Amino acid sequence: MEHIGLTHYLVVAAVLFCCGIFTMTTKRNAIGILIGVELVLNSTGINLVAFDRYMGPGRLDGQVVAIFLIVLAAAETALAVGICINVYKNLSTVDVDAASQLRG
Amino acid sequence: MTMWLAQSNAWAGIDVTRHLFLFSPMLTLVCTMLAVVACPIIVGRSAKTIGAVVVMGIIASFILAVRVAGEVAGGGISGLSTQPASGMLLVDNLSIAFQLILLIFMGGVTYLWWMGSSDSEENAPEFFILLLGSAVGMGLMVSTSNLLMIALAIETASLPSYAMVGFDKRDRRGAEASLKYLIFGAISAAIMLYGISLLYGLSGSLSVAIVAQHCIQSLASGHNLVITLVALMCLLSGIAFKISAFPFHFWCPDAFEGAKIEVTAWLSVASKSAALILLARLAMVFCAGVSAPEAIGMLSPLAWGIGIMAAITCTLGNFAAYKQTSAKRLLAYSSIAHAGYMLMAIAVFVHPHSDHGQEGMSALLTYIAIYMFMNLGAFGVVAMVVWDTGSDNLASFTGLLRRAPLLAVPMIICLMSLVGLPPFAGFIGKWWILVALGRLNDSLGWFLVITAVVNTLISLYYYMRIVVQMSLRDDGQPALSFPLGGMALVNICAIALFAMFGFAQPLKTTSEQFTRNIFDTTMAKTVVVDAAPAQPIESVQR
Amino acid sequence: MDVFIAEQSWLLTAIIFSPLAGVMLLWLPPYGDARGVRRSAMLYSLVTLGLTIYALYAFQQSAPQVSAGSPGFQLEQRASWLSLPGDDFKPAIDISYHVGIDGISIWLLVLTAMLMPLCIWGSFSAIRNREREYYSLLLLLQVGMLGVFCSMDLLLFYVFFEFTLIPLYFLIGIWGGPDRRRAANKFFIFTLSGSVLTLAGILYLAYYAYTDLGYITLNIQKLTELGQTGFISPGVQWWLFLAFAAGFAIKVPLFPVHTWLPLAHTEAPTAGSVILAGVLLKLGTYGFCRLSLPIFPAASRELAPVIATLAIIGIIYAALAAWVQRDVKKLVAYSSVSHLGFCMLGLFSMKVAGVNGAVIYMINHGLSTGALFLVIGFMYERYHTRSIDDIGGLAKKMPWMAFFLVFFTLSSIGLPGLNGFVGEFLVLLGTAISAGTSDMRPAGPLGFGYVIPAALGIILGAVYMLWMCQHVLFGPLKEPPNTPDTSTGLTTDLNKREISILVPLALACVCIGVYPKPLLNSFQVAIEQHILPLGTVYATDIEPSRGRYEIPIHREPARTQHVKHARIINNLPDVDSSAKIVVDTQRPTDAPYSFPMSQDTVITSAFDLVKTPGADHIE
Repeated sequence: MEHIGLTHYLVVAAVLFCCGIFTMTTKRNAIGILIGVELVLNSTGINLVAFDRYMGPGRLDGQVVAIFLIVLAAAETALAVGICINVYKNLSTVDVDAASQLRG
Repeated sequence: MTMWLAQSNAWAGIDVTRHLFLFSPMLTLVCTMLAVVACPIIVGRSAKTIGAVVVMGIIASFILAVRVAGEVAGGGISGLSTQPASGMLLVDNLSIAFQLILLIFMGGVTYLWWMGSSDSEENAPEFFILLLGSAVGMGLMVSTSNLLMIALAIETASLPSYAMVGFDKRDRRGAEASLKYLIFGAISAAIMLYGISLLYGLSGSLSVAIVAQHCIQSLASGHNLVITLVALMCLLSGIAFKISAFPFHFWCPDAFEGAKIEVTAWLSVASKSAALILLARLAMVFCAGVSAPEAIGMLSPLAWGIGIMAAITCTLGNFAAYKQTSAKRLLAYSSIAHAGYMLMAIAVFVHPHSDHGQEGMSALLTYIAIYMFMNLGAFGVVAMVVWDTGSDNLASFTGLLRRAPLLAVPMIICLMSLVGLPPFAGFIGKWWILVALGRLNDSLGWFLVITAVVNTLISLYYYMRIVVQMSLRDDGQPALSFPLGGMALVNICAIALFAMFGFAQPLKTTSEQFTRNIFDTTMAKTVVVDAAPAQPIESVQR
Repeated sequence: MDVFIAEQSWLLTAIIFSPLAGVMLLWLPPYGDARGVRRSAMLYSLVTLGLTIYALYAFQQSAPQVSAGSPGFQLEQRASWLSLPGDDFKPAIDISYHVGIDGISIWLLVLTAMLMPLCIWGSFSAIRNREREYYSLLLLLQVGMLGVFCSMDLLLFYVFFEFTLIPLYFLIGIWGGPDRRRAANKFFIFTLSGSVLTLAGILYLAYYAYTDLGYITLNIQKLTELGQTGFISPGVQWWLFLAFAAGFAIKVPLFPVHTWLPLAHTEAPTAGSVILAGVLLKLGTYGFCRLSLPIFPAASRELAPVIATLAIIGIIYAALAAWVQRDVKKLVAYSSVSHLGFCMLGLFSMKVAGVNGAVIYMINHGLSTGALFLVIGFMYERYHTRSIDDIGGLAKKMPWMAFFLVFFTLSSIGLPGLNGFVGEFLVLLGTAISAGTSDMRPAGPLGFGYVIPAALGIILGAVYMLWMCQHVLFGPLKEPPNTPDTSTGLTTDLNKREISILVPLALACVCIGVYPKPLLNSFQVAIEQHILPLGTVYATDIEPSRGRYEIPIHREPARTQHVKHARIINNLPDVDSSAKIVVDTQRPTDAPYSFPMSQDTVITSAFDLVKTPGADHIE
């Protein structure tokens, strides 16, 4: 049996990325889309940490970025949920298709 | 404190005082944010007080930026990090030039907000924290060539913007606009980050210069070609979203229409031009890394790619603007079109024949400076019409030349300048870009010249529609009441546009000075071979 | 003295932009009432007039050679505007803010500066709403017109040329008659579509000049030099001439594209009509004169019969059309079309006399037709109609108006002793002698055949103008009910203000009619130097043989000696050594001149034949 290597991690991340993109494109619910975004961000995190681990000793850049990424994701989610609540209060739904006042 | 830092071992070799000074304009904005946070506790939440604090902060930051500009005139610095090779931040002529433009523009937007909302708005501190936050993000966007900093800066600029668009919580349109903006923004940011992770894996570094070298190698050799292309596309999508370039422009009209007018003005200029400068810097670093003859061949498709993106962006923006009845939405599409014109300047220095990228760069900088005045003026007038009539529909502009000549005249000047008609500065902006394109003297250059000229003619129609609406139609609406300060602001913009037309040569010389040393900076200071050369992915698998 | 000249270099810039400063002052608080606005606008236009008169004085004072740079141009000022340095891969660009005047433009400048205060004064009672905007637009319009006449850079010329569109569009569109929107739009679309072609022509000309010079320039004198020395090939000249003519012919307006003019004139407010007829139409003829004739001499020669034929059709057609008009203003508008036809005829005779006549015709037409529009405007203010059917026999009731109407009619139809006659005579003279070579120029394209229909046009002009005078002024008194309307403070006959407006114009008409010499002399110098330079040598005629070059020079024998400057370039674009060749007047006319040169010299242009006594030698 083959040793688990970088490729495996990258494949997992790529699958996660694709799931995220799939979620974003198919979901009509804003929260659903944001979950898709989180999936993509997590795949990014996996990538970064895996690269650090396998690309030679003494590398920390990727892990640093991963930590920043987690913070970034948290900030974005907080803001996103706030905006979603606001939309829900105004439109009584968070379905993106219902948000159709602005067009042209 | 700083003395101690400078002497301690961990900071050896770095002049901390100097570095902090170089970064001081943005730090001042951060301090202003803190002051705005503290203000409600100490002196109260009055919008006027907060506005005054912000204005003082902007002025202080501007003065510091001017001093820094003098400091870096002979060559920028890439630093604020223990490893000069992978400088996270860099301060050079270009970044300072943009920060100066940004600060002037922020002053204008703050003033506009102060006139329009300071009486009714209870949440002034929150608004200004968001505004300052996004400004800091934009300031960072132009002063880095590090992938992590790029991501952080874009997010720092974006997150407050989402909130600002939906700032009025009772406004349904604002809520919807912010939701759309947020979703597009979050998606493109996530994709960009994924691209960044791939680029990190490919090159083992976050420094764009090193990443660029690896990308060019793999593009030239065909090694890891697909991954490289995917990663670059992902990175580009995040930036294109901020520029609102095709095909990432969908958020722009909705977000602009739903947002408050001051926010729309802010986003239309600041966030777009920051992203444009960021893209320009990336493109520059990429081209600087290209030296091998086989790699130079890679630049042509890249230039065509950016050129076609620019052509589609401005054509699309202009055609979509045709049938708009909302002034804000029309100006949103017009800003998409202008992003297209500015992208053309980037195509100039990506081009392999163009050994003077500076020409395109200074054309871009000139355009941004002019564009700032055009949009501030146009949005200022729209704002005052909206405040008085409550609607930004074109019908509320009917007969404006009679109802408020001192608003209509600057509006006409700004619109004509946006078309690019002489004798206003918009012509100069387009002129330098077209000259740079024409002097490439090849198919891409002429293709873009023709596209730009045809687009200018197309745009004439919808801008003139507003002019005709204001001047020749009149349905007897009452005279408009408007704040005197706002009138002064838009008239100053109009006069500035006229003056910039007359003094085109000094303007160009200045912008050339501000773009003179950037190539040296990015190459000499950041393109340093990494101490631990990166290994390709395959070789490190265990 | 040098300092004095250097200071004067700001004079033209000050003249061009002084109305703009006036506009800004007009809008500065404290806002005056309407009366204050009127008076300050008048004051600002008088400042411009004063500066222009000073420029006229300075122009007469300083000899041409004092002004460094371009020969024959004075009060020059030049500042880099849209220039870029070049390098091995990219051409340099030389586009500057470059103003200067010669003997033609100074008088057009004076005409513009003189008409504007009169127009503003004339609008005092006619314009009663939104005065601040109205006078601002008039002053802005003046900026554009003054700029066109001073520009020595093609792009600058074009910018000012186009800029005149905007204020007039609003003047017609806001303060015009009932059909103003249509008139404004038609005017705008006609002129804009023509000038887009002109712009394309300008850009191509810049590119073509680049292929000759190695750098991009739009300097009019440089381009003239290229055109005169034959570096622009006849085929290219042909297309460029058409592109330029598209913009200028619409502005003139030449026969098939004149339809916007009667409409615009009828709908425009009085001052708009005066400026339109007085100055704006001259932008077209001035463009032909300043650009088309000198830069595209071969194409002008070739296409002159076409232009002249169109001009003559215009003369006759517009005269007939004027005859059947019931609206007095429209009648005068058609007479404008007819008169500008004469201008074009004179220009394309390509003789000094003809061009001289055309230029003085421009001035005359500005004075007489401008004044006619003013008189008609004053009449309209009182009767609210301009229809010949509604009014008649006003001479008894309004003797002053009758006097001025008759006076300017006579001036317009070319009564000897008044200004119109000088222009008409010279134009017809130039057309008649066009085919000859009496003025040392090559035989022109026109001939006596063109004079006869043009003379018919003059007769027709006299008929319809006098017919109009007769209907309006003489016969039984006929007035619409409740007129003359004196509710706005007017008197039945012209009041003092109105008379004072017309008197300067009448005086100018008499002066030019009696003693046109100063103007004609001034024009002559400019024409001989810039419009139809003497002894044009076509570079295509120079045989590219090594060592010795032969230049055929067209000249008349038994004249003063002429020195030929041949600019010789040693294959380096910046090294410029001049060789002078003296034309020996005793030689047979058709013998070419030859002069020795080193192996690697190349002649790029041969230009500037100036009258200098001297021996037959080569420097």
